Amino acid sequence: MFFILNFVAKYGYIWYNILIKNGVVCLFGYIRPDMGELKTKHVGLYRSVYCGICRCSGKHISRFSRFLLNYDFVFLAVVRLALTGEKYVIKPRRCMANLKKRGVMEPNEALKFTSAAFGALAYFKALDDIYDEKGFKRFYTRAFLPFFRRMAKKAEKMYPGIGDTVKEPLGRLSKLEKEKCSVPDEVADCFAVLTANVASFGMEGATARVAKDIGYHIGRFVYLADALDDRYKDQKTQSYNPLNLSFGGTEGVDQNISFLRRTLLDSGAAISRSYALADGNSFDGIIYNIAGYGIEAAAEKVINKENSK
Amino acid sequence: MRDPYQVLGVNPNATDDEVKKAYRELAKKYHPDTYVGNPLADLAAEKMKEINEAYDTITKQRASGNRGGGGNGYSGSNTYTSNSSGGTLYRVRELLSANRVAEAETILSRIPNTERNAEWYFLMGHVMARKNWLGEARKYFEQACKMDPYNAEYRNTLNNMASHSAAGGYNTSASNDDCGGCDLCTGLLCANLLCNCCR
Repeated sequence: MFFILNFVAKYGYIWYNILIKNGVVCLFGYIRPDMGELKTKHVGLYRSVYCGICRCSGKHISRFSRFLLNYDFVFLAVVRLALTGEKYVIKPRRCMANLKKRGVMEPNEALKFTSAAFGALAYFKALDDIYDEKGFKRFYTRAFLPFFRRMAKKAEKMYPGIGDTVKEPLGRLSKLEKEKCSVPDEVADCFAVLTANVASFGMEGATARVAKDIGYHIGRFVYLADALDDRYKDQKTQSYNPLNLSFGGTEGVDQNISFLRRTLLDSGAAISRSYALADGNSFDGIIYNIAGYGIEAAAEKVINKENSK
Repeated sequence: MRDPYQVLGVNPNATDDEVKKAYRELAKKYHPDTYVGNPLADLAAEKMKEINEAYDTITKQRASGNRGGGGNGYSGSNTYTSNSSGGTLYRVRELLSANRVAEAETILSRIPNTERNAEWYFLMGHVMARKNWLGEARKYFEQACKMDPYNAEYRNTLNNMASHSAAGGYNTSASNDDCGGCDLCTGLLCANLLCNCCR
């Protein structure tokens, strides 16, 4: 079983990317730049980080993790590269999904760490899902659990203590979700603390504080945007959703949509304000673009989501 | 201390006006008002101090040779001004200034519903903003503004929550091709000239 899945992970990647390009599969993640507003040099840099983290996680964590890579973690990697001021090398490389050579960032500390954090998060999230979910999702999460476990083990070996930084807030989150907490900020706080811990892992002093604040708002935005995105689905399946619970169903959420838009954009403003305290490098353009235009676009997308039958 | 020109991000050969412009932009970016209620307010204050010192040094250096532009920098306005001198809310403001958020929250939550005025909502908003619970903070600030619509402090704090003034030069919404009075005149003169030629 393990070998078959490993084989699929190795070569299935080509088909997976073909599906993505044709719009059959959508990559997860809300926090991405508005490419139209980005300068050409920044587009190249962002893509190199994106390809770099995919390659790095395939090499150091697991091939399987390349399927699950999402934009939010690319942003975490960009923030880490910007704050630590680490030197990076970009080389033209080919990959299975892109036969044309593209600039790819060579594995470095920031990319390795972000992929390790992703591996640890994927494992603990999978454990939670097995415990909470029912039916098909539970079945396939259980089937893929050995892969997740391997990812987490490798991550822990590379960065001792990373599992604990993820485990504690996730535990608090699932406890609050079970208690059906109705204050959206309180629930989002758990996930936000998780991303804050990940963003500031191994940093010290003022940089750590800035990283922690940026990480917090990434997590807060992702959690709230996700809750807003799933509002109709959760209403239908009667599952827990902090926004539905707080505003009294999807009608209440839709009535208060302008408040929710403002509070989502506040997180973007907070990211750019925090980053301003440590700016002055080649990633400024990308980070300010994401905090301004990217987050606004993501918020509009989830706000305007229609109630599919 | 770092090179003052480096701090302001200008060339040592820059003119007085260029230095002043760079200083104003940075001062706007890190102004304490932008960071009111932000957990990183102290870092912003440090940055502001560094910028002020750099600008002072440059103006003093240049004053010996040229006529210098006055070196009076922006001063931080981060100290909270309370309407009710003394009393519990004053104590809360002191605690917030000393970054003791949890204690401030306990004191505020002990005040009964009937005694909760605009200032209470404003301070509770601050507590939430310090904890980074921006949704709750916005609710409290909006309530404070509703109860006391003419209070500039409450209004500014609410407006600053969504401000991207820190976003460097990447905010492209402001157009650079504004048509000034002189340009307009020149344009009309040229058009007139052309019309005369065609006659």
